Amino acid sequence: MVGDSDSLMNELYNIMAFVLIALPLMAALVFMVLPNLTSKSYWLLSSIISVITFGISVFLFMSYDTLTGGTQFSFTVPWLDQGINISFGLGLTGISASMVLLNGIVLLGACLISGDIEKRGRDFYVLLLTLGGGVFGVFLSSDLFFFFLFYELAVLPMYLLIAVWGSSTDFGSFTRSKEYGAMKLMMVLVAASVLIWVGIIAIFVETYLHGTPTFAFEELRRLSENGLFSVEFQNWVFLCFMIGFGVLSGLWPFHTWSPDGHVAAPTGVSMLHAGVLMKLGAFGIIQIGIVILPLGAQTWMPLLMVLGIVNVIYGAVSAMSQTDLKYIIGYSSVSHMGYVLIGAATLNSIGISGAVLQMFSHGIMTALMFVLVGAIYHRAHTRDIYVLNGLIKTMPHICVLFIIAGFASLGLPGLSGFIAEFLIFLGVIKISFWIAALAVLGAALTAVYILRLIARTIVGPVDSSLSDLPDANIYEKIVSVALASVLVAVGVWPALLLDSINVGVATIMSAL
Amino acid sequence: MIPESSNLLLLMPEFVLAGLALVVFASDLIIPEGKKEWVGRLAVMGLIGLLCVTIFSVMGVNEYVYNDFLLVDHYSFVFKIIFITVGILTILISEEFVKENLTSQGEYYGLLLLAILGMNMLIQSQEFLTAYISLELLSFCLYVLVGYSKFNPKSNEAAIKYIIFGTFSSAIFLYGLSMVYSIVGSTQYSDISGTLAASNAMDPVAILGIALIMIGIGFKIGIVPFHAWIPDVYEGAPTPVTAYLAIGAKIAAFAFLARVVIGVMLPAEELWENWQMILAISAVATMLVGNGIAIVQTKVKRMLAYSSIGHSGVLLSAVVVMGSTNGIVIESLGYYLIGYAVTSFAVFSAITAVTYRNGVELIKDFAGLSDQKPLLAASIAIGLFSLAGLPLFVGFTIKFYLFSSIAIGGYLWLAGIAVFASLISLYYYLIMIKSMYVDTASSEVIHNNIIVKWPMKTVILVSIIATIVLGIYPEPLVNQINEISNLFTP
Repeated sequence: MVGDSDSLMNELYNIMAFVLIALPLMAALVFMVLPNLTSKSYWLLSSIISVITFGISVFLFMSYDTLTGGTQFSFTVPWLDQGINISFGLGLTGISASMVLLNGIVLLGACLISGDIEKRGRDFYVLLLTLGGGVFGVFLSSDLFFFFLFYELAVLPMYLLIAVWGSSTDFGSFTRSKEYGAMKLMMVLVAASVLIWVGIIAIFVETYLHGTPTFAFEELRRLSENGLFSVEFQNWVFLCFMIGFGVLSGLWPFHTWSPDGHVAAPTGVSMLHAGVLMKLGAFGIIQIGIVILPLGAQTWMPLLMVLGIVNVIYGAVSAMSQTDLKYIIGYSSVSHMGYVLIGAATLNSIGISGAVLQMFSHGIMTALMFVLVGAIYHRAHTRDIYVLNGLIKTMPHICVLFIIAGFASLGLPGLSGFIAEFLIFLGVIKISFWIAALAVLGAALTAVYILRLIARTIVGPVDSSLSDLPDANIYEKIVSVALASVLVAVGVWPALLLDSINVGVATIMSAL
Repeated sequence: MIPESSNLLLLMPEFVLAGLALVVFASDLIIPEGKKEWVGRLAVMGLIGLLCVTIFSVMGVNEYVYNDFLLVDHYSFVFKIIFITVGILTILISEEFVKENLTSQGEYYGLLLLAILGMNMLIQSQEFLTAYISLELLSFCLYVLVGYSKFNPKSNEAAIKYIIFGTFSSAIFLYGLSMVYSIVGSTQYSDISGTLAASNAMDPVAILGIALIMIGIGFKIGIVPFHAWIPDVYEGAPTPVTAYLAIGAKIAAFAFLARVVIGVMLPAEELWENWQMILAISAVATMLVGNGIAIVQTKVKRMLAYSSIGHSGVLLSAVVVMGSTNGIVIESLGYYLIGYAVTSFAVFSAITAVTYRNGVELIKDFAGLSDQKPLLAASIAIGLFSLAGLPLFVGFTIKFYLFSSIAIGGYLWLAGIAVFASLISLYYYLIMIKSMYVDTASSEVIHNNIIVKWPMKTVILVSIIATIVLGIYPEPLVNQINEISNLFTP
């Protein structure tokens, strides 16, 4: 009997990755089928679901065995035997462990913070959970077909989430409507996926003509090590992947969808989008591009590094000239994702580790910022930094946390951003001194716009129209304090994440 | 070698179908005015019976009948099942529309049944004259159905255009066939392909004849540059008939084209290599023109008409890569056609429900639909997302499968253009979705008076469920289709 229950536990343990993806998607389906409830009850149900997915993601992260390494929690069932031979495969690597944790945290925060959604609550949570499930799917897939399926699934709900529940921004002389932001985001992301799709098909055709049709990462990696993909082939396919995935990470000059999209989206969606969705692109470059197409990666990495440094500088300069709080954070995301791209482009273990840690750190930090900006906007009904003044007197809680997030963003030691950027600089300096110098300059520029933001809005005399605004409510407090403590925890004890990240990066480095 | 059979029972489904059509016409005389929906229900019940008859009489059969004129095989079996199912669903979504908008309701259903008969004969014919007669049977039924809304000038205009273009293309087809006959002395696919494959220096008359036949078929399918009739006809036709044109007639035409290509063109390798390039260019033009012009449309049915042209281009790309070694293409083509059918039903059934009483035409008139009729809006949105190729819907899986097989056939660039075309389509589908979900309802159009009765509701739910289920669990269907492709793999 004991053996039976053990094997049952084993079974359960093995399908944990599957449960993590299926749970939000099934919940979304059940919401659609069941009769309509009030928005509040959907909020409550979704929060329960996201607490469970958070629990599972913590469990997966904690149980990832860094001594064994490799792909764990593997789960494969044949899906299509005939013809093009696809299996539904999942697995957890050292890199995806921290990414899954990131999504677990941010999804929970996004659900909790969205309690004020009144309009068409059911549709909102159906789409939000679909988005969350799709992102989990991308991080956990060990099969190119399903990786792409979940990637598109995560993009699918964005249009409606932004266009229905978002907000338009009036700049006086012109407006950026939410429909515009939603359409731009959707079209750019799907256009990027056209390149990824072509790349995936091209890889598949090579394996098919070789007589071993497959989409599975492990198999593709083995074929790649055996020299199936020629250098010319790798060069053009990696370029497709680099641009396709790069666009999703806000790669300059294709980054403009991201500030427009983030700004138009409602708070919960901005959190997920800037916090997690932008990471999918960098994750794709690291986990798929470099592993399957190492020669192509070596060809194109100098270009990616240059574009990444443009991202850093250009994003920071753009953020300096913005007057809307959300646009500043949107452009700062562009700038920070530049560090991720540079880190990945170093192709050395320290740089890639830094990139992955930066993905995590930026995800938490930017989610925190969007919570706080959302809270400010909700009360003051403006995000113009020339109108907002002296908020620390009326909203001390929000402002203190905002300062913490800002300091994490500019890389203050003791917060997670510092470790990540430091590792990236170390990785880059091995490649090129000048790029590293520019990257450090970018960090200095970040300090400029963050401090400008803090000086404008948080400190200073209180505007009479803003003097009686309430501070954060209980959910905003819980979410923001929780996110801030993650920033601090990773900042003082980076080994928490770096242990598993290093294992994952070591696997990737062995492909090079 | 496929055996020759004199067993006319193999044509049982067709006999039953012809009889059923006559019974339905006759029942129209008996069933009193005001209860005419029972004519349609009788037809549905008959078709469900016909499904059983088809499964019991010809499943697993692989034999020639009528002196090699007809081939009853798994290919025709699968498509017969598809045609009958499409017929059932079309009749179910027609009921309210026909009752509210059309006079002489009884014949409507009878004509639909005869159109199915035409399709059934078309795909099992192994000889061009039989195919021609079947095609005409199908077309004549469609001419009448398109003009069925006889007090609506648009419908009349559409019917006239359709008849002129249709007969014109039939004439071209026949002219080409006469040329081929003058060289080969036979109209059977196998004889024609044998002669074409044997003669090294191709006879120019035969080349011209084949070209004219292909142009005739191209007109029927509506590939660029023979697509001009489609938007007008789709717009003017009664909405359920538009659905039938876009789903049933299109599947029949492609099933026929695939059969002609496999039967006539593939054995003549040299000829087929030239045609591959011609068809590839036409496919690119069809995808780009269809999807490009759809962007600027303001009327829902015209938008869907151009989108349907775009899908023809995708399907044509799959025909391009057909080769004797490539069973995977036929498999993916079959899967695509079925996925396209269920997805289109999700869109067209809901649009029929919205238009049957209010007569709305413009995309902007769908504003507020998601508030007033969430099921209809969800059905259209799911269908459009699926047509654009987004997961979890069948549209993603069929496109992935089809594009992969196109690339395996050596046309990666064509697959790339097809992926790009579906990106364009996403844009105009999103405009429609925005209208339904984001825009506030205008005061003139109110959707509250729409009543969704059970036949319509059934079709909507079935097609939504099928759109999702076939997308995430396609294996049984693909295995079934795989048996077809095995037939063509030597």
